[in-house]
Parts: sequence; structure tokens; C-alpha cells
Amino acid sequence: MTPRPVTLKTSDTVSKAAALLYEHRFRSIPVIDSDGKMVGQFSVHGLLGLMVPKIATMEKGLPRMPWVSDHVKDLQRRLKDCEDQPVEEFADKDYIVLHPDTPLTRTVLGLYHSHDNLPVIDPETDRLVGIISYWDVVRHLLTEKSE
Amino acid sequence: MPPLSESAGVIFGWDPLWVAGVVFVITYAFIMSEKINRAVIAMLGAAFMIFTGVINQEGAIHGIDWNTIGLLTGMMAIVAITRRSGVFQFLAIWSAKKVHAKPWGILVMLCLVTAVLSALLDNVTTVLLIAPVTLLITEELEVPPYPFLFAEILFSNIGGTATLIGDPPNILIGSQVESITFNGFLVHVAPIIPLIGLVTLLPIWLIWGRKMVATDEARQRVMNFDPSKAITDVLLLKKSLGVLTLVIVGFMLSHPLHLEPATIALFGAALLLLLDNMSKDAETTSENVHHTFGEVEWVTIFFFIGLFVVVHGLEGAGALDILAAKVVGMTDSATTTAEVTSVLAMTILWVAAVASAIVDNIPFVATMIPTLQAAMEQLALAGKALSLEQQNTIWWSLSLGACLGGNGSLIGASANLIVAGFAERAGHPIRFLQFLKHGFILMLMTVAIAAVYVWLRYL
Repeated sequence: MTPRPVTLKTSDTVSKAAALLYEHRFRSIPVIDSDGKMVGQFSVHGLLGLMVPKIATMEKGLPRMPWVSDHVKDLQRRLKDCEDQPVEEFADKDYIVLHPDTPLTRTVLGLYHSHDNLPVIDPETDRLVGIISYWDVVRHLLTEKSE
Repeated sequence: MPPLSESAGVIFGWDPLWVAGVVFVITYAFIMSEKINRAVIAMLGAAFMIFTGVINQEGAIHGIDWNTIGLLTGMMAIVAITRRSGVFQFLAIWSAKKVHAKPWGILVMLCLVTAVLSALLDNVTTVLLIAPVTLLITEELEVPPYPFLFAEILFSNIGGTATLIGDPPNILIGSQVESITFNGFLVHVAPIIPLIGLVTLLPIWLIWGRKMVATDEARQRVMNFDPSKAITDVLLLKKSLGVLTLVIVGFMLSHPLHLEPATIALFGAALLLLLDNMSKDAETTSENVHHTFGEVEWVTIFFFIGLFVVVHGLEGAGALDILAAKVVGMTDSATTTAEVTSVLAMTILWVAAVASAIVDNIPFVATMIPTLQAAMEQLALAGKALSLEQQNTIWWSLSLGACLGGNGSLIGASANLIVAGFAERAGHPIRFLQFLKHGFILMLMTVAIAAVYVWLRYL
């Protein structure tokens, strides 16, 4: 587990979140409020979603829109329109969380299903205490000798 | 009233009227509360009608209007295949470009497309197809989507009023009343719809339309849309439009051909399934057919099935005869059948409109049809038998009131809630009171036009 991971504050802007994602090549970054409680996570998929019309990413929306113009400036414009908005508005609220005592098999299954690193939350305070990456688990399992 | 063999006798020897009434009221209360899926509630209500002995299973099956069920299922399957061709998105985008992407022009065009599609398909399907394209266009135009979505809700209900297949209340009336035909709706209800649509646009223009502006850059983005790319399968488009045309012509000829609408719709669905799967291998065909049937809105189908049983139970217990007697009682002061027709037509038009704004218009109409049929029988026994034309005037009034009444509130019709759901997910929620403020007044206005129409033409 990585204690004190990179996080975003609810008031941080989308442009700051995008820069952090790009800098660290993270798939997602936890978003925490002023009390240190996790309120969501902002992912690179969420960022990509901001570059296309909203209806394209909505349930029962228009997943394919071959008739829409395909200019890079349109993608940039859509992203620019929300770059100064707080990241909390675009944070994904539906994510898997682990607790410090979550069994290893459930942790591996969580990583398998989410295709992402997972936040570890203190169940009593809801505060983010760290991040488990799939590399953490793989490294641990490869180096740990079985008894 | 169902024959005695349809009931095994009510449990504990309770009064069937009370038992059926309680089951009915509880079922409708849950449907109105929208806390639990309406199909589940209707099916449970139907089961309780049987468990309590109000009707037996044979009676319950007898109460289901299979013509309505077949018509709905057939049309849903046809639309499920047709939509894959992209034709509905093509229509929406093409119409937006026809008016040079001017916001008010787009609103009018989308309303027109919504109304026409709603007349040919069911309203829920229409708004499911048009609302996403509307949200895309308004996002690209950088204009608020609310006036567009609000107007589309109104026009889906207005357009649906025009035909027998356009709106569930009309399907119910057309299915259960022998004298009402597809062409009857075209001749007696459809003529007033364009005027109602035109008058509805006026306040929408005054409130929102005249202030709508979009930058040249934003309009250019919509003008850059290429509608031809929306058509994903030209062959499927030709097959679908061919079958759809055949089905519509079939509806028009159904009376002389002695065919019920369900036969035509289900034949159309089977034919399109055959054409869609020609020259495909067995496995692909099986998957394709499975997928198409999967797109049929089974929640709606089972809602209708449950509802028919609940209403039939109530009818069998004699409750609707009592309600019918109340309806007949309203006409006591009328001395001629013409006066009786006038009183009934106007009362039903306005009651149906207001009731449909408050509760779902489907259960309302499902209950009103057998009630009015019983009332007409009672009138005949009282020496005030209405002529066929007079009876039909009452059915047209019920149709106009129930369909147009759906515009009175956000919960007035299923299509309204579908659009509201889309808007909410897109971050532009439509509030109940916000809709009510304009919707109810506009609804009263359209019903007033319908009332004048019925009065001038038939009374």
C-alpha cells in the first residue's frame, strides 16, 4: 500500500487534475474533502469523457455519433469549457473501496474488476489512508515465499 | 360482467364488491406512488384478484385484451429493428439543418418530427429516439435544452393523440371498442391535431423562442453534422420502411379486411424479422431474434396484462356498474340523446384531461372504457340509447382528454418521465413544479380547443 498518495481536493480544477494524471500516468486520483474523507475519484476515462458530447457517455445516450464533425478543436473546446470547474463535479462516485483489514483474495478480485488501483479507507472515519496498486500486490506475491 | 364460471367465490364469504374495490384502490395507489415498478404492482394486483376469489384464472385470462398486447408487442419489435438503421437520428439531424441550425427553427422542426413519429410509433419510443439527439444539438448550440425537451414532451402527447397506435389510451379505445377503427381516428381526431400543435407553439415562442440565440460558430457546428452518416444500414432502412408502410396501410384497411390491429402488427414484426435475418446463418439469426425480442418493453406489456385483470375483476364484482350508474346519473336532466351525448362528451373530455394529468392515463382509460360501455347499456335500458355516432363522440372525447391531459404534469404520461430522466442524467433536471407551471396551463388550452372542436363538429 502507498500511504499518503497523490490526491485532489474537491475545489481543485479539472485542468489541475488533468495535469496530475498526465504527470504521474495514473488511471485515477482520489478526490478528498477538507476533512480528508474520500468523496470520489477523477479518472483518465472521466477526462476523455469531457472531450466528447455529454450524451455520448450517458446511459441510453448516443454511443456512436458518426455524423458529428471530427475536428481536434472540437475535442479541445469541450475540455476547455470545463477546465476551470471544480473536479468534484466530475468525480466518479461509484468505485470499489478497501479497508485496512480487507482479505487479500478480495483485494485481488477488487483490482481485477476495477482495472485500477484501489483506495484504502478507514471504515470508522471514512478517511483515505492509502492506495493499493496492482503492482503492490503482484510484487508482494512474487517475492513472498510460500510456507 | 364476466360469467359466473369466472369466479370461484370470494374468500370468507366477503362481499366481492368490497374485496375487488380494495384490491383495485391499493393497486392504483401503488401505481401512482411510483415507489415500486408498475408492472410488478399490476401483476400483484391481478394475483390478489384471483387469490381472493374475485375471479379465477380462466376469468383473468378472459379479461386480458390480447389485441392491445399483440399490437404493442408487434410495434415495439418493428421499431426495435427499424431504429438500428439510424433513420430516426437522420430525421432529427436533417430537420435541424433544414432550418440552418437556428434554435427556434430547430425546436419547431424537432416538435414536428416528434409529433409525426409519435403518431406512427408509441410516444415512449419516440422520445427515447429524439431526446438524445436534442441534448446533443443543444449542447453543440450552447443553448439551454429545457424548452426543447418541454416542447417535445408536449408534442409527443399531441402527435400521439392523432392515431389509434399513437398513444396507449387510443390503443385501448381502438382495441376494446368495436366501432372504433384506425381510419376513424384519422377522420375524427387527427384533423384537430395540427391546430392544437400550432397554438401550443405560440406560448412556447413567447416564453422562450423569441429570446433564443446561438452564435454563428455554434450553429456552424450543427451545420457540420452529416445526417447521411446516421444511416448505418441502407438495406435495413429499406426493409424497415417497407414493412412500416405495409403495416400502416394494413391498419387503414383492417376494417374491410376484417383484421384486428394486433394481427397486422405481429405479422409486420414477423415479416421484418424474416427480412432482417435472410441470408444469415442459424446462430446469428437466433441471436438477432433474441436481441429484438429483448428490446420489447416487457414492463409495459406486463403492466397492461396485470391492469386488464385488475379492471376485469372490478367489473366482474359489479363495481363498474355502480360507477356507470353515477355517470348515467349525471345525465338525468338531459331529455334527449343529443343532450345526453353533450353532457357526457364534455364531462369525460375535461375529467379525463385533469385525471390524466394527475394519474397515469393508461389505468384511467382502462377503467373508463368498461365503465362507459356499462353506462351506455344502462342508458339504452332507460330508453336513451345513444346512436353509434353519439357513442363514438364520447370515445373521441375520452381519447382527446386522456392523451392531451398527459401534458398537464410531469407524471401525466410515461414519455414525460422518460424525457425527465434523460434531462436529469445530462445535468439539466426538469423539476415537477417547473413543468407543471407551463404544462398544466398549456394542457388546459389544448383541451379547450378540443372541446370547441367536439362541440362544433358533433354536438
